[in-house]
Amino acid sequence: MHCKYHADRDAVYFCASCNAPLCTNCAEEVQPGTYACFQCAMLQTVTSVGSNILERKEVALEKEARKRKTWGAFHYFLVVCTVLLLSMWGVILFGGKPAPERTATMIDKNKAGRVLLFLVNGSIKRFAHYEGNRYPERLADLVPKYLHVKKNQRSFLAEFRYARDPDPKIGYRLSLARVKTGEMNITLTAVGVKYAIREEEGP
Amino acid sequence: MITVLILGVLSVTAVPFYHVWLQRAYGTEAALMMKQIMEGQIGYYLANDEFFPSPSESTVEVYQDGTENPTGALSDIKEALHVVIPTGHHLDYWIMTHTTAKKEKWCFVTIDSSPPFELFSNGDSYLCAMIDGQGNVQYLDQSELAAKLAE
Repeated sequence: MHCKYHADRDAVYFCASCNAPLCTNCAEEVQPGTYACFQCAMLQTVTSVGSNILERKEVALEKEARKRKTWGAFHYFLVVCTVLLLSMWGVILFGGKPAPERTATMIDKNKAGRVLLFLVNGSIKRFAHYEGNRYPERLADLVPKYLHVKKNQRSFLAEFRYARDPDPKIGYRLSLARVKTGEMNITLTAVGVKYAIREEEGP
Repeated sequence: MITVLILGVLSVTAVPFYHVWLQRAYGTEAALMMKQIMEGQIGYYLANDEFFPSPSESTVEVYQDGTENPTGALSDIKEALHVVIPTGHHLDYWIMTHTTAKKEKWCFVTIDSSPPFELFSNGDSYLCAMIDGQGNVQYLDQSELAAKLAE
């Protein structure tokens, strides 16, 4: 039998792929002990290179996917920081208890005046403590630092009569502006409380 | 770079967080102290038929810087109400008793933050309560009382 490409030469091998008879010059050893013609050998090489590229691509993709699935230290750090940030902002915006429920609604207008009289007295004393032992010129000076009412609520202060006393011992005189006849008029000063029954209708 | 940025944001947030946390802690302390003082007043009233400080119309002031008015107020409160008032906690205490013309006995307690800051999540910077001879404790809202008076 003669070589497929050289009619004058004897065939020594057969192509493993297309079975063509081949002489020693035309046979390509593609694997140890396996021979192929030039065309088949080329085809095999190209195919193996292509499959290698595909395999590598697949391996790379798998690695990437695996990388995505496994959490690194940075991911944990990120989660811890997010939790910390959220909890801190939670405390800043909504943290702490609300003040105990206010039940002042049970107090009527008449009683409210007297209760506030004492609270204003306490505020005057705090003012004196923090402002160098002097008393406020007007009650409005107490708002809002020492008397916790809104600025637009200052009109209620007209319900009180307040004046600084020239005697530094007495300091000031604070009483309700409107006291009905026969009612007890309470005057608060720095040294204590004075009582008097109002005999005439208040202004 | 991202890590530094995150740490920066964290530390910037940590400062207001610490302040708010501290303020709310003082708020909790104020609420607890008010409860203890009111309970002490009830006990004192049951034993003496009047509120502390006596005689009526007296005032007791304890400031956050440790100033007491009258002198010895802290030990008097401890003895009478069995309450130890801590100083240096940015809270001022003011207690006053009053007897009305109808012989009703009232006691006012105010706990103020000093300088004013938000003690509670609703923004209140003080706690104010009164108790009467029947043992009714009422938490007062100065703003609400002012509105009522101005009606």
